[in-house]
Amino acid sequence: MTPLELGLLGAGVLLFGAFQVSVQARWGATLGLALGGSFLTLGGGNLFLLRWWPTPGEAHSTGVVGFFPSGGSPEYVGGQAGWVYSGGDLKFILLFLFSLAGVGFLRHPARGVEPLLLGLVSVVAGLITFSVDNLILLYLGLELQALCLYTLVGFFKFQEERTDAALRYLLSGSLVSGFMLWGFARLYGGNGTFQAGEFLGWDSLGSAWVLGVILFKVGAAPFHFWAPVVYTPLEWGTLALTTGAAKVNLWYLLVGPLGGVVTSAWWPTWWAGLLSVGVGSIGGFFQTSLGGVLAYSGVINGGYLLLLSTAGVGGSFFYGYYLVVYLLSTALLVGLLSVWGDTRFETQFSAWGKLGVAFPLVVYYLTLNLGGLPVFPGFFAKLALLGGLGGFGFFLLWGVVAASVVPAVYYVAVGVGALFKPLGTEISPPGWPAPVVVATLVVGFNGVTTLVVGM
Amino acid sequence: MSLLFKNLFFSFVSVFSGLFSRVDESRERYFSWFNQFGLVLLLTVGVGLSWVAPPAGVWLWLTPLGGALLYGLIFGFTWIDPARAGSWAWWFSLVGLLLVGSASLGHPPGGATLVGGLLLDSLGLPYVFLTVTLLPLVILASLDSIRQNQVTYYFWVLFLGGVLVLCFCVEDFLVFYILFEILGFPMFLLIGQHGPRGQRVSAAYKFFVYTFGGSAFILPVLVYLHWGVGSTGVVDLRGYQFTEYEQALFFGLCALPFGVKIPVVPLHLWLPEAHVEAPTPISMLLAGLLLKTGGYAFLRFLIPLFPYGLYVWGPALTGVALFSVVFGSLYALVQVDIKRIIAYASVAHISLVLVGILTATPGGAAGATYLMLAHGYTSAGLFAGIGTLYDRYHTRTIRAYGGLAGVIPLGGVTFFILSLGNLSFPFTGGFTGEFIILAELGRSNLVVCFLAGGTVFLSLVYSMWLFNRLWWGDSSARVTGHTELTPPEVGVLFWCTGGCLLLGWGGSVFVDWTRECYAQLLYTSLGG
Repeated sequence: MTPLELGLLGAGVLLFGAFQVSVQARWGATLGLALGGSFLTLGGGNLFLLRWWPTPGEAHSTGVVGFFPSGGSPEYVGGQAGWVYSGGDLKFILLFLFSLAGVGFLRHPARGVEPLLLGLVSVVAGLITFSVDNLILLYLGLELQALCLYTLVGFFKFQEERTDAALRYLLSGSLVSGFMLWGFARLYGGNGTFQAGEFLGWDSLGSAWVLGVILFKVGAAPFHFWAPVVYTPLEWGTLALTTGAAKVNLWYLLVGPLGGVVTSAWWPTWWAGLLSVGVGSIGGFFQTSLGGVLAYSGVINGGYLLLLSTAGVGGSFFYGYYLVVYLLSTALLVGLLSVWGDTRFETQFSAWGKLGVAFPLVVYYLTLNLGGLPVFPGFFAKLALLGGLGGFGFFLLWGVVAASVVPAVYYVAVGVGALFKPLGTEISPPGWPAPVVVATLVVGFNGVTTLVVGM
Repeated sequence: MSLLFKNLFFSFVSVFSGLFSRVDESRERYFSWFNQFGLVLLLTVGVGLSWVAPPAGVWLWLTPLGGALLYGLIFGFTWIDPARAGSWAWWFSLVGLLLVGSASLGHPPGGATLVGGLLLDSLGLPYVFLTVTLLPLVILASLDSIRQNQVTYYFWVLFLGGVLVLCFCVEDFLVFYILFEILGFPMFLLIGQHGPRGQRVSAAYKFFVYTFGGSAFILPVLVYLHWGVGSTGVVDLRGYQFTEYEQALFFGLCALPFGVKIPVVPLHLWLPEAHVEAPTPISMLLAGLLLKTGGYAFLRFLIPLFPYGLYVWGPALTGVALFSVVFGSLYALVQVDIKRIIAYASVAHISLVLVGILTATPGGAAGATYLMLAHGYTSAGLFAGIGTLYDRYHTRTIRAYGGLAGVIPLGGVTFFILSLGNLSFPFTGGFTGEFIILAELGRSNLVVCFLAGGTVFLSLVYSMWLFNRLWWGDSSARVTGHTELTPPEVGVLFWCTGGCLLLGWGGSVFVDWTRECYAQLLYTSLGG
């Protein structure tokens, strides 16, 4: 555990565990931890979007439209995947999500500080997995993270839907925990060490089991079944953690310490990616809650990232850029929508117009951004994604773009609710200690420190 | 000659602005010293610019978009009364008209200038001119009809104008696509928020789905060009040797989203809904300007870059476009909603434009451009005329009207001239455009020429039938109150009528300019 993680955990336990501390102080502590942590994580400020800005590739010389599997075959990857980037940006997003979730929890002080502590532990456990390549430590970190999330999902035990969701999450999560043990055991057996960096080869079967774990945890097909059920009844705080914080480190591991999994289980990864793109684009269309939409959004974006991971080192740059934009956009949308206590948008979305002109317009912007429409960052992320997938041939590219149109349509349905539907319920402005304010503060602070440090 | 055009142009502006200043005197909410002062200042600057060589820097062409953003900042961060939003927007649009309009007229004909990513030539500048001349009309037509969320409404209208100007100038295919897509977002808001009827949200949604769905086909092509070829600039790409397979594939894929925007049958379903549900000024914007982006894209990008694709897809697309011409005209005949008639007439006319474009001859392309310009003024004027009726009587059902000529005589005259423009009567812009296209078609295929020419007869039938039902006969019980056109309505309808007639008389100069440009473009692209 690095000093940063230890410090975060210690400060959090002290601040949130202490009795007789006012809600305002806890709010300040949450924000302070997120700001301080993100500042340290990024090495004193770093506007990550600039780091991942795409550049044009080299000119092609064949004059052919492209052919499969040029640039994407296992031979091409040749074990070069992994250790592509440090993950500093992703750690920032983890802390950012913690701040969103924490402030979301603090909006209901009667529910106690336990959700806040559980959220902090899950985030610190996620941070730990960025720092290690020992399989045992990885297993412990991932399990600790997952246990906190199971508990958070089922924390409000009198809500039947959430109890049901927590039970499903726990049971299926336990099953994949077994997958992980089995996969790690095979990898250990083949190499005689737990250190992933010292592996001489990655056993195919063991890699496939580990891939199953990753697919489950990031909510990608065919192990996505739990996500809509679990996300739908959640309140915004827990939703921010399960949609984002539970996945960030997994995406890092896939191209970091566990990068050999993709090399060894290339075809399963590729097919899972393709399946996720299809399932995500179709499934999301039929959702009636924002939790469901976010779940299928996770499926399709997971599919894109899986496909990018199979593009090897050629796709790593695009992978990072796409991941950051997708995670940050989702987090900002969740932060913004958390003005409401419920994620069911059929009855709630129409009330947004009451908050003035800017609020629904920002929601509209974020939904267009998530849909990858020009000229928002999401569009450039999609360009980067397609650039990374260029090696798979023109027709796969076409299929991916076609599939990406459907989510854009259902994302915009959220915007339609915000912009046009008549007012259904009485609401009041969120007030300044709201997740949306925290989102602005954290991103703004990051930008300011970037400027200061940069100058 | 260009000086003559400039003088004509500024005379038009001064007459038009004078009309608006009369509005100020008659209505307190429009009146302000700012308008009077602004009028004098603007005319001085405009006349000065027409004699001095217009600035050709890239910033000039960004003025409309910059103006829109400035407008947003002014109303977002100051305490100016939102009721003045329309008046401010009007002046912003006039500044854009004078700067960009004079620069586009002052550009030397036949020459192409590449400056800061903008390609300025006789291919795109007519559309830029159309944009900056129609934008003030849209705002003027909105002054009486838009009552809610005025600041955001006018901001989006100005923003759309700024984006459209760039859309018709940019050299880079990818940037064009981005701007092309951006056009949809404000339209989505304008239809969904300001539409007068209950189905506006579903119409806005349908508009969005259709226009964005098309991008599924074009984006992979652009990604391939960007990451594979290494450039999306049209100048670079014209020098790149695409294989025949690539050209056929890319042309076919890109034709779909532009076909949606034109729109050709069966990709047209969004258009009647959008027109019916949108407020009238937005219908003017949609028919007068947005539909032109599809045809322009064919001329600027698809045919010069993928000429073999035209060879492969040309016959099939011509068949589809011909079907659209006949289908649109026949459908216009059976409508009961006035706006729907003009919407289906637009489908027919712009499909004829596509037929002209697909001839890939300088004459066909010049005729298509001419028809698009004429259609811009004619359809905008017709929609404005419908708007005047809807504002008074709150219905667009034809059978509710009759005998309007005795009630709104000035409106009747302008509507009649615009109807003549719609049916391509000689001495209107529509006639010149259609004649050139049909002449080019007749040189190669008489059957196609005959089928495409069917629109002339059918548009005569539906235009005169519509005019007859609305303006002549016994006065309907609904329309007995005498409410002549207001000054803004006079301004809008006279401007459009004037544009329609001027294009009918001044065709040869313009056609020579564009024909030369297209000859240069097409004969270098379509070897042999």
